[in-house]
Amino acid sequence: MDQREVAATVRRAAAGDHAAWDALVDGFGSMVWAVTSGYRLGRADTAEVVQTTWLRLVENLDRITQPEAVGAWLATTARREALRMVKLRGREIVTDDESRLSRDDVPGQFPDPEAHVLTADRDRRLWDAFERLPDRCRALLRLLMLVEPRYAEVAAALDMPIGSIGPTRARCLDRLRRLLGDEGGA
Amino acid sequence: MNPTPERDDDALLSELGEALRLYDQPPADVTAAAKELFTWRTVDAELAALTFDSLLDDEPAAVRSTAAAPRLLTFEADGIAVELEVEADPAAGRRLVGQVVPPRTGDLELVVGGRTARAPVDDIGRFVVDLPDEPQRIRLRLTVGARAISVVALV
Repeated sequence: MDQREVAATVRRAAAGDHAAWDALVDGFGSMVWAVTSGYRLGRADTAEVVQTTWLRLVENLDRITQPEAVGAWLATTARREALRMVKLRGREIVTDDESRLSRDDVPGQFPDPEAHVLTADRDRRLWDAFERLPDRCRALLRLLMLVEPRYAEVAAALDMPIGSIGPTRARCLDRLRRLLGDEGGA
Repeated sequence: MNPTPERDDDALLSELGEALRLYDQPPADVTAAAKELFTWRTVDAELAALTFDSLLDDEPAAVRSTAAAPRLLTFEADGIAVELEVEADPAAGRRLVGQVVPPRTGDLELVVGGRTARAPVDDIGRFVVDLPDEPQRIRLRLTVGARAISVVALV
């Protein structure tokens, strides 16, 4: 969806068109999921945060002032709802993740790669290395792996200036490469 | 021997994308539930929007919240606000104390999980209901005056 389509779809949903709402969920669902998954909340709480994010949009469909920017609005809302859940659960919020490699999450909260068919050994090693990245790197790379991510949404999701997305991307990929054991990346 | 960093990065990112694709899509039940949420617009109550939550809006992100400060939330629907305070008493458990502004009399239903509890909204717009021990999503349906207002909160 381009921005005009997005704006029109939001307006149709606000007018009560359920198909338009479904189109919004299909169009932005991966992004909302990717933002939320970055907080290592566990399957149930991640799903809860995603639902709450969409519910906030239902509540605010009539009040959205820039319907073309609903993606950035959803990204911001998903981040805030995830933070709310983190705080409710009394977990520490990682603010400076470059300074730590957190591996303190409960294992098995997301599908265990071992339990699925990870055909290539390379895939498994990529997954392992990815999981060892700092939270912010994983959040950023997750978003950038979406099909045609909009930088405004990435910036909103991570509360980061658009201008620092590129340099951070490079730093995170460099780190991933080192975690992979310097085989020159791809 | 030394590829340009950008191309190298693009290739690595795309390879990572392939490796993680299986695990990083929203599960079908989550997507279905999100689509289902739209019906909340057509239920027989106005859905009030969350406009303030002390958990997020009150303090710098770096400061860890303590148990000392009660949690405050404000929801707004057209011309009417619902203010909520979560009280946690170690002996008596958790309670939700609310105020309808401007004051209206009526009653409310609290839906938590599958269970529904009822309570009055008194003549100055106040109400009190018990909350479960664990934070979770609740739904309040307030019938005050001629209005029916729905509030969904994670408390």
